Amino acid sequence: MSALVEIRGLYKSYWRGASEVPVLSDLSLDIAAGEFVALMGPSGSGKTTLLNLIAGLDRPTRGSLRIDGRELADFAEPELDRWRNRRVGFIFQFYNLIPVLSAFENVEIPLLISDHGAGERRDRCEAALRIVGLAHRQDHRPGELSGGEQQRVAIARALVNDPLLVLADEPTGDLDSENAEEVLSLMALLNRQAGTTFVMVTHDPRAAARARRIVQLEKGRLAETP
Amino acid sequence: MKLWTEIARQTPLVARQLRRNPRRTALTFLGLVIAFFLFTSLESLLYTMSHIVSDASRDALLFVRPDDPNYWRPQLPSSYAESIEDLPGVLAASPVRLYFGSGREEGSFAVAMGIEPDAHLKMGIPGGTSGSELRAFLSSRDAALVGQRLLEDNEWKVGDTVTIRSRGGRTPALSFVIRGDIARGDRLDRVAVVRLDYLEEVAGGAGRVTYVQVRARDAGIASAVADAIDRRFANHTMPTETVTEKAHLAPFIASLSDARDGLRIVGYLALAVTLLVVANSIAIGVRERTREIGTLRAVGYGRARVVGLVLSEAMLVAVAGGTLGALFAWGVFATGRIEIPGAGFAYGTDVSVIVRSALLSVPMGLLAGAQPAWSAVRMTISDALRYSE
Repeated sequence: MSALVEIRGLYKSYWRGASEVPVLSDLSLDIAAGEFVALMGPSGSGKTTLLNLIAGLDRPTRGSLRIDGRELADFAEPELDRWRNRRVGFIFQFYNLIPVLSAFENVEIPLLISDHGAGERRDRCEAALRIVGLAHRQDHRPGELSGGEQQRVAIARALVNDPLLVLADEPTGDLDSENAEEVLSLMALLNRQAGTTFVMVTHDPRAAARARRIVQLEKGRLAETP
Repeated sequence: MKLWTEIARQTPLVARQLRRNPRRTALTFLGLVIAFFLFTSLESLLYTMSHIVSDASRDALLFVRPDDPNYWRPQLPSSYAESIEDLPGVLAASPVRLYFGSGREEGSFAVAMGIEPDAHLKMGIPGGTSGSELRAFLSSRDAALVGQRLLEDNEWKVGDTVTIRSRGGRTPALSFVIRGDIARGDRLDRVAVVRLDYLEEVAGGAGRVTYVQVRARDAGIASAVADAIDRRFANHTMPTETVTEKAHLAPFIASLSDARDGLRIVGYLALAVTLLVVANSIAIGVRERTREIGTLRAVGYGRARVVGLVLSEAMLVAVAGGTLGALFAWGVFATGRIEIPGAGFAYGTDVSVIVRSALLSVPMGLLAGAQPAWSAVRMTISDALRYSE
């Protein structure tokens, strides 16, 4: 498998008052297309920061971060917005659905700023909701769905643009074990059958066990890559 | 993406956000409706004031009254009218005697205006009076043409025989038969027009009138004609003071003009306060949705697009509330039934006043949405996604 994500000497720090606080230090990592990687580590180890950098939500202090052969630091902000819209799917711990919109409309959100026409958007949303098993609940609002169903809607939203990469930040952190298992099974299935690349931040060893590879972070450095 | 495509795609999202907290949206909306109603009402009042002045200045009507503070008493010789009619530039001169009293209700205010029909009608036929009504008025000594407002105030109708009783009962009551009506909006819509000879027969004091109404050939020479009239009677026992209608209305106009700036400030203050209320309401909504805004930005909504969404939300509520408030004002004041208290004039308004007021809701929406829109995109995406209240 070729490397979809190539990270070399990545460094990220934040300023707290006058002092610089390093979060990631000299981190190098490759993620191949079609992988399912779990990022694990204690709180403050830099997992979410790394995920945000891969997503282009944040900029590294220094180092190189190439995705699909392109250096993210070279992108201007509007270009990065477009790239995220077309190439990256997001799954969040608290689903981050818009409560006043139906499941269908939530899934459609990334497509609303694409060039797809209404018919194409409808087909893609219906297909994404079918994949996550919620075609019959497409008109329901998030408040009318269980936590597991809401997270499946969020997965459909992440998939609707056929992304290169799906980034999940604690996707089962707000779910009971049954729903968590359902969501993880769905992600694993999509990874196996559709070849979707997943990078998942998790604290939960059971969730990490569903990934093909676990990347352990400690104090902003790579601890172990089994 | 073309702008209209963007608007069509994002409008449902913007509109739904307003339904997220219906009570807050409803209160904000109500505040806007009230503020724009108030603002449009004040603008309509200013419009009415300016039109009273400009209409009067365009008019060639003059009022010749005794040069005496108590000029409302009938003391001017009615023969002055004939003398005035001989002056150059005068089209018609008609002696007028006013009779003040109460109508149907004791204590109500009703005015009868005694005229010499032949002289007075040279100045024009009262608005809304038909030919048959006019003939009926001319053919009977105790006939009257009554203004619509007076008819409505007293629940009178054409064909009724009615009575105006003088205040204090010092003068005999004046009874007349209503033979026709004068349309609302005519300058005579609050009086009962009777024949002068009949009024003199009832009330006594023949040969003395309240004023002589004069129509100059055109408005441009009205002031010169007024001077000529006053010069003619300067050495008589009863000198005159001839004024244009504008001057006739001067005390009222002056009192309103003093208030003009104050009214305008009150109107704009109402809008400014409402702007702050709308801005606060939108800002609260944006703050509550910080994580959602972070999500939108994560999935590719750029800063400009998020700013557009927040501004659209503010604009939608401001324009809807502002337009409704302005339209309410139109509904109330365009009828011409609402009087300016104590002035004897009805509020007027115009489409231009309504449109101008409603259009102010556009900059209001933009201003109200500016700060919340800025705060929506100021935060980094990762901070917005982590945000919790």
